[in-house]
Amino acid sequence: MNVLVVGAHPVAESYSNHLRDRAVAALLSAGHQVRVTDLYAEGFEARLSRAEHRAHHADPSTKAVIAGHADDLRWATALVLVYPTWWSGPPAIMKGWIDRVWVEGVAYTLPQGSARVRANLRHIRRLAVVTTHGSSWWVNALEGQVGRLLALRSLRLLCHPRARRRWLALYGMDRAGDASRSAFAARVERAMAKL
Amino acid sequence: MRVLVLFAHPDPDSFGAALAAAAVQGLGSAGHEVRLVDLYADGFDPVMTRHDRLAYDTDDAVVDDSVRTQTEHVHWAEAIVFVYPTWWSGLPAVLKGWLDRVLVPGVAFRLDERTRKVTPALQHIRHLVGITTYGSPRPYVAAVGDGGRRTIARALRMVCGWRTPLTWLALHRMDTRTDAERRAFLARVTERMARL
Repeated sequence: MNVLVVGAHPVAESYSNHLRDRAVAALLSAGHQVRVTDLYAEGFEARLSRAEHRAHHADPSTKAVIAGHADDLRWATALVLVYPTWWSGPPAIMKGWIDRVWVEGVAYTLPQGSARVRANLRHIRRLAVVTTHGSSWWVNALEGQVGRLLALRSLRLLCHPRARRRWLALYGMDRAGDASRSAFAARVERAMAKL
Repeated sequence: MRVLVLFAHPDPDSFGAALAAAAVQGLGSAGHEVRLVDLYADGFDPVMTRHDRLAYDTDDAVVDDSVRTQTEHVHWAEAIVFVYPTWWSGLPAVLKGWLDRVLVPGVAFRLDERTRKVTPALQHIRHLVGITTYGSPRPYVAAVGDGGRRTIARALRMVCGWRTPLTWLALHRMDTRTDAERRAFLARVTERMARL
């Protein structure tokens, strides 16, 4: 498969980036094609601009600033998002990648006069999220699991109708020792090998 | 009451900007003290930096002046009003990043070093308000999960206190609304903010 891995952690040597690297290595050894986007390393601008907002319905070919990211999404048959969960969801830089890249003409089309969007990423058949939570599972349940809903519902609706979803999450990371961290990294590796 | 209005929309001529103005007008007419923070106009950078993240685990988690200004607003406020367009069933990145960078340990909560237990620190916030627009109809928003509302009503309320009242004012199917419907919503926002 063509796997697009998108990572978002400000600290290069972080555990989240370690998970991303382990995922990429597992995907490559399983024979997949992999493209990696490191939003922090490339200094991705998170804020959708006024010009972008005004040109919302314009053809995506006119949007040079996101062309590379849009091309990655068209190329991908699998998508893996790797991020730390903050305030129940992905970091702003990843939310911004969704706000700015998953636009009309790339992620969906809105036929003239219709209020219903048509999925444009039906070639994506796998959608996986690898994330860490400082707090426990039940605290995250209380907080509403915003990141999980965003990926597994909102984004998934624009992928293949039978796209397989994987939610790989380490809860209670602040209290987790090295053993649970390595166990989780191994779990991510296994999941990627079978993607 | 001292009310912090957090506004996030890239276009100052948008309906979203009109909503922020309507909220400020309503609050002002009721005699509240209002601070309006326009995150786009102020050029607030929502991306937590390496420096921020490394400081997060220390006793002084705020290392950036633009963030410190925001933490002063948070300490000052007794109510926070969020005005934003819902994108991807959630907060625009600029507003999500405001939470990421401003609501850190020592500001929004305290983190016990040993037990890693979180203690809320925003109990002085007596009211939360969300004013938002959705492109989608209400049933769609319900089906995919209203991430923006969840973030404010649940994740944020966790550090204010579960009994903190929440007022939610929403306009669905925003792109197909008539001018009259939009004006009616603006009037509703002003009227509701006037009796906060």
